[in-house]
Amino acid sequence: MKNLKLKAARAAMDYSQQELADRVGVSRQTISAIEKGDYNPSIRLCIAICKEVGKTLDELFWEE
Amino acid sequence: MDYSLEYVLGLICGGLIGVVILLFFRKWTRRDHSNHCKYDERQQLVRGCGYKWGFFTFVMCDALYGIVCCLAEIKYVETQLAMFFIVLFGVAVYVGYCIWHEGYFALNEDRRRVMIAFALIAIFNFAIFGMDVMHGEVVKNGVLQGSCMNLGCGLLFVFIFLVVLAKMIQSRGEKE
Repeated sequence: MKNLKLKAARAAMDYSQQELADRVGVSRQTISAIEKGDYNPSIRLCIAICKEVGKTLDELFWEE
Repeated sequence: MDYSLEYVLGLICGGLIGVVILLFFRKWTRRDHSNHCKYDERQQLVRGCGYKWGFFTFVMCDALYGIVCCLAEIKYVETQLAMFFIVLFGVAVYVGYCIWHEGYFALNEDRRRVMIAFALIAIFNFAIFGMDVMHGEVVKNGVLQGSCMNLGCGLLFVFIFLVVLAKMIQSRGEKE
């Protein structure tokens, strides 16, 4: 399932996938895979991403 | 098997040169591990999965080779060459899987530098194989000799090159 909330949050911060990846210390392909729903990140990576885009875990990763 | 004195001396010299290069790298590379390859969590998972595929490919090919050896009456390939090709095949599966799933190149690795190094290794191996062909050392008494190892190494690096190229073409169409 695509993570459009992450994509929107990243776009709102004006980060490219590469910029966000560099900030959280992963590859661009990993961010791409998370956004496409191909990879489930660890809680540690989720928290790092949330801190970078200024969102909570619920806002980015909770599925209704 | 009878090996000439030159062959044994060559082996010892090769081993010693390897030790010298290793000592050189240990002495002159940074101790803070900042030059070590770094992989993120997804890449580590991909590499683990790739290793599994490569390992089982190796085991299956090894078993198949054992069966073929038992059934075949004539030997076409030297045993050490066949084993080497099986190892190369396993490595090719591992590397191919990792490249295709974006887990081969580390976060702090310069892809271009790695590819140039690979191209040079491939050329070097093809050159050695070419010399062996000219000296007629590739086939003896209808059996492929160990000198084909260089051909195998060269082909492995060509394969890596092709997979990287295919992945680049596939990724080009991807949008952010």
